[in-house]
Amino acid sequence: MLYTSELLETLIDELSRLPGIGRKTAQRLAMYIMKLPREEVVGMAKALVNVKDKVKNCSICSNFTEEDPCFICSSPKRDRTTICVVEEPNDVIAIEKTNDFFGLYHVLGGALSPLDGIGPEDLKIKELLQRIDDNTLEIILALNPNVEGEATTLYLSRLLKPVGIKLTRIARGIPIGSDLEFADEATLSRAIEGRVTI
Amino acid sequence: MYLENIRLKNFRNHADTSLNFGTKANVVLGGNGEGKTNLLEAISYISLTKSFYASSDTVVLKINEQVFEIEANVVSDGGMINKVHIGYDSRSGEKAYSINKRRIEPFSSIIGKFPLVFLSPENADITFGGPTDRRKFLDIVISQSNISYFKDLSEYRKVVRHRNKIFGDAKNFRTDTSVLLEPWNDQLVKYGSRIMFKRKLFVNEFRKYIEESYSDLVDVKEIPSIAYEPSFEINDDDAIERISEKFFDIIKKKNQEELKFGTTLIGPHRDEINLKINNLDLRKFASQGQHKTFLIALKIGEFFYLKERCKETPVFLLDDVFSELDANRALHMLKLIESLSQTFITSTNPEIFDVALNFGDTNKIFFVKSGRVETTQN
Repeated sequence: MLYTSELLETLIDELSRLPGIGRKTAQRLAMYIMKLPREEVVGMAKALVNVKDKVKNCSICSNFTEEDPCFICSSPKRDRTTICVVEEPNDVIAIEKTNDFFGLYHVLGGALSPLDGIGPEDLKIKELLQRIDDNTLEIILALNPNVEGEATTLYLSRLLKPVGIKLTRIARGIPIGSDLEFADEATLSRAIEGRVTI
Repeated sequence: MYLENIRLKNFRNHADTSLNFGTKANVVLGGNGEGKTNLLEAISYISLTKSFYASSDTVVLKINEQVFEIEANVVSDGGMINKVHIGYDSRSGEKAYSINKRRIEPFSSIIGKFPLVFLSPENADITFGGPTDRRKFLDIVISQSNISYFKDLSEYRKVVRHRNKIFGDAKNFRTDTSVLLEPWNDQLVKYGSRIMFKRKLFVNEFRKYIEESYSDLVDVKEIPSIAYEPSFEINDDDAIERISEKFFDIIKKKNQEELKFGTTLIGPHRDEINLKINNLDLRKFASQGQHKTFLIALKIGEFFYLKERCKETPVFLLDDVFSELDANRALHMLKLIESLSQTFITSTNPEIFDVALNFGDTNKIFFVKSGRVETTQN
């Protein structure tokens, strides 16, 4: 049903296809865009097209990049013996922000999820196996702490064990700066499950 | 705990309702569809952050309104006053729960703080219905007293769905599933064993609560029993590790069968909880009256179990249950429950309460008509 202009409706349709954006929010965004100065809208549109044209997946780690290989994979300063496996490019950003990890990454592009039709062949697992060489000493699995991430961790660990390199996973448990007594039972029992010897 | 008062704004058919409750029985009277149960539903929001009837928050919002609010003073056993506020805005879809102006997040952290025991005619399914209804009863009671059980359960359900999908795909596309299944088998066993262990523990403890409350309800010598019957055999003294081992074994054995049926055939989602009176299966041999008594015994057992586990006296919500009971049984139950804790009772029939209760400060009576409430006292 057409209430305003066809062009505006098209914009609303396009915006509402974005994740987390419903019809109403799309309408509000479209109205906001209508009120912006032309140059700002052009800037926005250019940014969208540029991302699509110039940003690609790194041929080594599959992270988003403009140069191939990406700046992390090609940096001489990174520790090439350690590969940290994550689900999405966002996870790389999160870990990079810590400034505590200096190894390389491998972005799987998701996690195993039969319900969403995501199997091993849909993830960059073959690519991971291919890049493991004599220099590789450790692989860190840093996947999300949900059933899908856990299934992926278990799947990868079975696949990688015969390769014979050190295989680790990130710890789960109590957040820094919080008190034990305020942690919920589930988190606490996970933390006890993943206890380490000192 | 008890509720001192409640205020509902745009909740179901209540535009703006404020009530001061009695500390014992609170009888809510009125015709069908006038808004009695809506009061109980609001109380379930305080305890569970959601309705026990409606599946979504938009359903309980008053028609043509955008925001509903529930406010209540909940007094804990220790005498602490918790000012609970719940707000829902349909425009943003956002719901907020706060106690004394402090936001509670995540919602699951409120479970067990304000325990409640709910009884409605639909609960008859626990004794009459299939295993699903009995598992649901178990899950609600254990979850209220053990939050990690609640989380294990929701993870377990996800794992089962993923696993079933793999079986389904295998049937359709004839793919090799063994490698794909392994990570899900691991998790099925991990969460499944924990759930089974806790259910076994619960049933063994809960038995004495049912025996006691049942003998309080009937004069004749009848012995009720409850038994946990999982989808594969485990021993009473099996630790979680032992259950896991057995679980792995049976998965291996059942693999062909699961592939054939295309679904997960073993695990706690196939558990049965057997109810008996004098060693006879309740579902096959019990009379209507025995069914009702058993159900009430389960609910009173639940009350004492939660009281001990949550270190807080639960409130009773009895939704239209007295129409189902004969006068004698109703009177007996009313007297018993009134002595235990604060109780909210909806009914269309005022007569039995006049006989059973003295109304005043501790016992109050409310009349609901089209979302407006009148109190006889004050």
